[in-house]
Amino acid sequence: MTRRRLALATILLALGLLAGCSQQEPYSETLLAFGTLVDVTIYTDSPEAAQAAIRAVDEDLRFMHENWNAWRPNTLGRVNLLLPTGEWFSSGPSLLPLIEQSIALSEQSEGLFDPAIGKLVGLWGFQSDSAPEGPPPDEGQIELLLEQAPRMTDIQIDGIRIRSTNPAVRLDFGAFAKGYAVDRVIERLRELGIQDAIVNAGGDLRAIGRHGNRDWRVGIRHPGGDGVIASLQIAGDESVFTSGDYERYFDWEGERYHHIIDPRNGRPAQGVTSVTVLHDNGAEADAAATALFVAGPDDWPRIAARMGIDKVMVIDADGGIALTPAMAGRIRLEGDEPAPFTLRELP
Amino acid sequence: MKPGDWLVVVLAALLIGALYAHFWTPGAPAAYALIHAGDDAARQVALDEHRHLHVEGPLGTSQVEVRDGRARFTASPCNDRFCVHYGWLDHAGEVIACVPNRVVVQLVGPERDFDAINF
Repeated sequence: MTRRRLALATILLALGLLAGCSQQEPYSETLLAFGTLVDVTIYTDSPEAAQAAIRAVDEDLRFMHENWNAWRPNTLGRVNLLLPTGEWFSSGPSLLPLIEQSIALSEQSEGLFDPAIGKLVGLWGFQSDSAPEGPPPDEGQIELLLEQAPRMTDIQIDGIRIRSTNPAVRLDFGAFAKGYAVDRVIERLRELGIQDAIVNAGGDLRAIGRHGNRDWRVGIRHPGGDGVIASLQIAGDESVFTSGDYERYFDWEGERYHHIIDPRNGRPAQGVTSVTVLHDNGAEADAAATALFVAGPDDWPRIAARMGIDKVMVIDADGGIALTPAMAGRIRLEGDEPAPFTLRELP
Repeated sequence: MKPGDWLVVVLAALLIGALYAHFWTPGAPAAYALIHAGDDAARQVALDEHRHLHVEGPLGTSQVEVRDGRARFTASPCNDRFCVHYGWLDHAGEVIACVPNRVVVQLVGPERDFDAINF
């Protein structure tokens, strides 16, 4: 009888353990920040903990959006107001790491990623959350800004004080703030004890841990419209960032003008439709996706190597797909007849 | 231990196994079945209408029943008939093979879903 009770107790214990396991499930919320939707998915056995974590993340995102938008009267707005004076001044402490990392990434990318070209971005009208309607800016104005050649390397930092040696510098972190913010959100989630999560900020994402007993599954949308062109499985800690000419643009007199401006000629970069970067750090992946897009279909492998990025998919203007060997080992091209691709070795 | 004790232990083990399978396998319903016979190309079979299929293999005819999103072997010319004893397949990704008669039934899920979409 005692043994039978022991057996029964074993069954009940096993049932209890299994029931405990089965309660782990993804908890998901959508937040509005950076002019886009931010999906936070947390795999957890405590929806309360996930809810509390998402509240904290929501506050962080609001703070970042308020302070890092280049075109509002805020911390960055004040910096942009004072930079043209050429004098030293104290920057808001939340902004300094962003500026420091931007300078480093700009140097690595040979200036192809350069948040100092805020005036060019404004000239084209891509500074606001909504896309402009055109027309394209006056050639003379573009040429003038190109002659003034604002660069991130014009900014000097001394402790918490900064200054610009070039009055044409205007900071716009549109190509970088999302990646930087996603990194901060992941950091905050980890502080709060969350180990398995995906943070997807308007299509650019970072994932940590796993989805229960399987990897996270990420689909990469076809640049031509609906549907998934490729997919990735992620476990551990990786970011997937894509820069595409279809994200923000306007059509003017039969020509399309998109938002990724080439700092070398002040015009939308040509030759590439989209660049997808798989990398551990979100800010670096974000900056690299922009830099490789600007580098164009011939030069991107060289810039990728300089930036320490080895997993890249580039879709060129004709729809041709190029993969680095490391990316080819990870990505799965989807569809009944997956598209052909070419391998591009990094130098 | 008495025979009844053993019975309890065996039942407990089976229950744990079943619960494990239930909670830890991705439980997506299947969209259709693929039926392979020998080296022939697989045949795609919808799971929503009740049908009895006769599939020819080297030993003879295997019978497969399909209904309500599920599929099972109902008869087989093989010796141990393990495929018939297995019972219903009802989850995407499940496979049962009658190895001697070289007939394989595989349930395939709808388009794979993603946790996030990058663009």
